[in-house]
Amino acid sequence: MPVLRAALRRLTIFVGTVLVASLVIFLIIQALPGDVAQVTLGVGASPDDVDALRQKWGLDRPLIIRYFEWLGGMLHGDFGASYLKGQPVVSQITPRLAVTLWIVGLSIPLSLLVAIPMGLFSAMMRRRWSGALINALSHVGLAMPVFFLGVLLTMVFAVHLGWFPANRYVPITKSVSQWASRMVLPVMTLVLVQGCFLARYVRAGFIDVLGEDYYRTARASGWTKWRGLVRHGMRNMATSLVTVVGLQISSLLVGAVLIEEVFVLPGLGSLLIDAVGSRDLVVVQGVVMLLVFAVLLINFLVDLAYLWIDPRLRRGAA
Amino acid sequence: MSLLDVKDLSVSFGRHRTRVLDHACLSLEPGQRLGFVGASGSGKTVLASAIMGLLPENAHVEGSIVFQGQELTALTDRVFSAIRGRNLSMVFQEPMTALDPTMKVGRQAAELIGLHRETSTMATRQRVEQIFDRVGLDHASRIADAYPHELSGGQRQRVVIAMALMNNPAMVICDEPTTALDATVQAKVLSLLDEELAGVNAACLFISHDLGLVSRICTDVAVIHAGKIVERGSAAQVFMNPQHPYTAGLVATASIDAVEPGTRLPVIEDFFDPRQEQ
Amino acid sequence: MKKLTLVIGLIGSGLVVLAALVSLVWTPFDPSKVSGIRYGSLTWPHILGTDALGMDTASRLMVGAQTTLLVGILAVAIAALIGVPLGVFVGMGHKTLGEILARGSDILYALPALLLAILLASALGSSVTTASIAIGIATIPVFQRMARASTLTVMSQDYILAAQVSGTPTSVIALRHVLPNIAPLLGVQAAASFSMAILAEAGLAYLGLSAPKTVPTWGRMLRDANFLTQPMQAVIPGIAIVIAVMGFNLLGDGVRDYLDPRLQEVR
Repeated sequence: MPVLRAALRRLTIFVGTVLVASLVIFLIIQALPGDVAQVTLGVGASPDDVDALRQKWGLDRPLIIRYFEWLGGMLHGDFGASYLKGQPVVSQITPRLAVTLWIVGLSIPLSLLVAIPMGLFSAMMRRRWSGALINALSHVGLAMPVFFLGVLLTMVFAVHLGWFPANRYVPITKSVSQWASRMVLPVMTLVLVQGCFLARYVRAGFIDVLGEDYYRTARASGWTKWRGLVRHGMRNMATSLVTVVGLQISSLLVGAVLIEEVFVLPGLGSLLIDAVGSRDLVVVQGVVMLLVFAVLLINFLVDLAYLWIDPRLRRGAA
Repeated sequence: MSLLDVKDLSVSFGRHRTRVLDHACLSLEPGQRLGFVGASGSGKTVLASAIMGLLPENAHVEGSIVFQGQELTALTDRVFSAIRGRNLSMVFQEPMTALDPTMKVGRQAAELIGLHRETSTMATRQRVEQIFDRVGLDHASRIADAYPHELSGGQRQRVVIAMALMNNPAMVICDEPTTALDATVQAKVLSLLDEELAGVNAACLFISHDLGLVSRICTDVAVIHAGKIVERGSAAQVFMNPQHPYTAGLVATASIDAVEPGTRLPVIEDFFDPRQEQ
Repeated sequence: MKKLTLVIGLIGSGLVVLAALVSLVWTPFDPSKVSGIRYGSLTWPHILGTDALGMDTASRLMVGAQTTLLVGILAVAIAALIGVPLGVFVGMGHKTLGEILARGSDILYALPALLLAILLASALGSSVTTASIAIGIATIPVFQRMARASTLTVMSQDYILAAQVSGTPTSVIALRHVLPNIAPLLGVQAAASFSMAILAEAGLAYLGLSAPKTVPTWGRMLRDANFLTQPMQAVIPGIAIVIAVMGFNLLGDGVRDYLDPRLQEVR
């Protein structure tokens, strides 16, 4: 089974990189200047008190032991407890992660839904003014900062038209309709920006297909321009798009912090920024590890997706 | 009435209207085979693409192409698509890239049936395997389930030929179908084409740069140079008694056997100075 | 069409550079001086109004262009100076180094610049330098990959083989044959990365992770604006960001089309 072997090889690489990444993150966090015990107790605290606190938190033990404790804990879903609040990190992360995952999870498929027709149209019509217009539009979208678009949409839809509320987040568990009305603008913002970004790759991919011999074969077989391009272009275009979408998801997991700031949503990114601000390093470490893990996991899934999309890779040669 | 009637066909490209085909005229009777010979860049492939209606969008076409009584240049994409692959089909030069790399060849071949007729999946599959078998693909069923990259160049070209013959077309355009193949495979594919075209009594426009190759499967020959058709007639006539100096050059370079040992091999420029045409 | 891209790109990027250069010697008002008019509307002499503290928006916008360009230049310089040599080395055939770098750059490529910026800012405090370094590091893989790919193309040319056979040292081949050949492509990449860096900096500034509060930046101006009462104060810096990002992006596209005329004809 060459497919299985190729998949296993990628799995090994994935696990290896996760381990290396966890070590690097741990070391970087340890190397951050500023002693957390000192910061917690304030500048005026006596050295004895600081030492006592360090001992209490186990900060006086060797690095390597602390690393393995942290790693082992995470395997059981235990990310440690916040220095400041004493709460387990997991209980802080979980509700925040849900918010971010909703935003990312909704906006990625929706932006593909925008990008694929947009790219298909502007590729096929690239010599006409209509295609050029769509292309120009995607250029503007590409240059648009999400936080600016977010502010613009809020001004129009929340302030001026009053269609959607602009105030605090409501969890989906409390009220589905209230939650939904608060998700519309943030998700719409991301979909517009990401959609324009992805549309450029979709367009380039389809333009490549238009010049391919197999597209000419499909046309000679009796496919019309558009249907032939969809039928024989989609999979081939997707090979170049999968990587971009993967990168897009990873950058959005953190990048969503901008949208969370604009719309005052309690997501993972804002947790990270708050934790950095208050030097709550256990939280920082946990969130960063989670994000990096997610990024590597996405990379791994992208690799697997290639095995499915491109039959040439299944031989396990790659 | 002829099967295909091309009158005063001119094709130019781009904003500067660079003309690559200049008032070309030719006609084909049902079952007739016309070899279309010229150097690379002479406009052969453009003519083929123009007949198939597959020119790039920046091409300007003037003149008329009548196929089975229909003016092709006036057709919408949808109507034309119904003719392509059914009455009029094409075999391409490059078998390595002519097939969609992400789709099994059997499914690609089956599309030719699905696009033009309503049949059951079973019947379609049977027809695909039958025609794969006919073009000399052993283990037709296994080949049908293979991806293009799993096949050799010769096998792929046979698949392409099978696809072109799928709906018993009235006319097949072959654009240098053997150029990209090994010499041994070339001969086999050529005789296969010869047989199969005869089998369905399809007319053929056979495009090549090789006059010798063309004369082996075509009854008639047209010679194109710099976008203009400079000579046409029966293969024997063109070979024995070329009228145009360019054709004379082609014939001389194609008949290397006739060269006295020790003398210099002929080149086209011995017969024809391209500058005098300008 | 192709010319239009270049012209719009030149105008957009030219405006930003001009604003930054002029602001070095002259601005309508002192950008950090608080005038009597708070929440000023768009009237003379404050043509773009004043912010909540009464500072002149036009002047702050011009000074903000400096930060924008500075971060862009620093980030692209860091990315190119590290990424290009690595890419060229790997492209010229350092096998093991290549494998390690490929893995490393895969991880780095997938790591969002924002995450790096947050970590760096927490270690060193937020400043123009940390923002530039974070964006620069995150951009290294882009240059490394580009340089590697184009080096591989150059290395497959016959004249390189000729040079190798005649005993030309590798370093000479790299400097005399490879670099000049890949330079135009890298230039185009630099323009594209520059515009992405501007966008990233704006985001960092919006989060307060770029220049300190005393320095005007477009991202922070947008954040500090109260868009309920003074929508224009949010819209103006926003448009400035769009113009800058689009300008440099189109400039890169335009130059690429100009350098590679084949792209125009074929498709």
